[in-house]
Amino acid sequence: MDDYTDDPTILNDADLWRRIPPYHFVSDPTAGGIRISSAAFEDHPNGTPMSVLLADVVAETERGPQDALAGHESFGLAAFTAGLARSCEQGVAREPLADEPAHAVVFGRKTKSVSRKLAKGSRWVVPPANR
Amino acid sequence: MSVVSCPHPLLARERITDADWEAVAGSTAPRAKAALTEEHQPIREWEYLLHDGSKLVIGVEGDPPDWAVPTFRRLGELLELAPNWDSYGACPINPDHARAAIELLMLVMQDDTPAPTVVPTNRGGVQLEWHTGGIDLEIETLSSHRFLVSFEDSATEREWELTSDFTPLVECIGKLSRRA
Repeated sequence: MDDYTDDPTILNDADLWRRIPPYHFVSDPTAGGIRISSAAFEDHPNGTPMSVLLADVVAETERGPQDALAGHESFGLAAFTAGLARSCEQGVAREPLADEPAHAVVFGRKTKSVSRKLAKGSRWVVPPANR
Repeated sequence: MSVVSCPHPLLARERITDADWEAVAGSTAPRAKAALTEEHQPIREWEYLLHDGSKLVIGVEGDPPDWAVPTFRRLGELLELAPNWDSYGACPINPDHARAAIELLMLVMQDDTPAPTVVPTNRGGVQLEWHTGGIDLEIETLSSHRFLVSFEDSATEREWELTSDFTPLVECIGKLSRRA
């Protein structure tokens, strides 16, 4: 498994995007309708860190939120800041992929408390459709 | 209420007559069938086609509390999820985890406890969660006999692994039921 180092060039107010499948939408009238389950903020099952997209890099490549959901139209798109991740003792590192220059990872131990804080601190960029 | 969770449809068919049974015929849509036992207790069963081609039947006999039927049906639906259902490499749901969740709920729920929201986890488990009355309660299956419980209200934030002593969780469920 690769070692990751927190990247200070990713500023604390940088938005990190995470696709949210409809199975992780939780009805919550007190939260304004639909909240995100903490289960949406976990590392990969193989142990590699949680994938996100750097919103500013997406914009630099002349794409937008809907591009992040291409092929997953029933999903929502959530954003949380790099600063929130770091406040949960996570690091943020760039990991561009051949087909996704905006790919990054949020690394660090994902306790249930961390996952809940990321879920509560996220906001919808593309909210669930028709709900 | 009793719950029958059968990995093979023939086991479920023993509970109802041939006249009441319908073949699935390759459909992945859940079918609800109603029948009566010899004791005239209503049975409702749902079949789910798992990603590996096998079938799981979940049945409810008797007069279940309001939380039971929607929760069991939701668990069955999640079992049909294909690999990578979250676009990030998620595993299909392990039927043993779904069965463990059902058995846990049968042990700790009260008749008037609100039904949980049931979500899949990317490691093949399920998570039961309630967010009501100022309480956030989440129960994640870690294996067929281990659970991770997190409880938070205005005064308390606790997280613990549950294996055999259900007392703390029963207390949390009781608090949730009173506030709901």
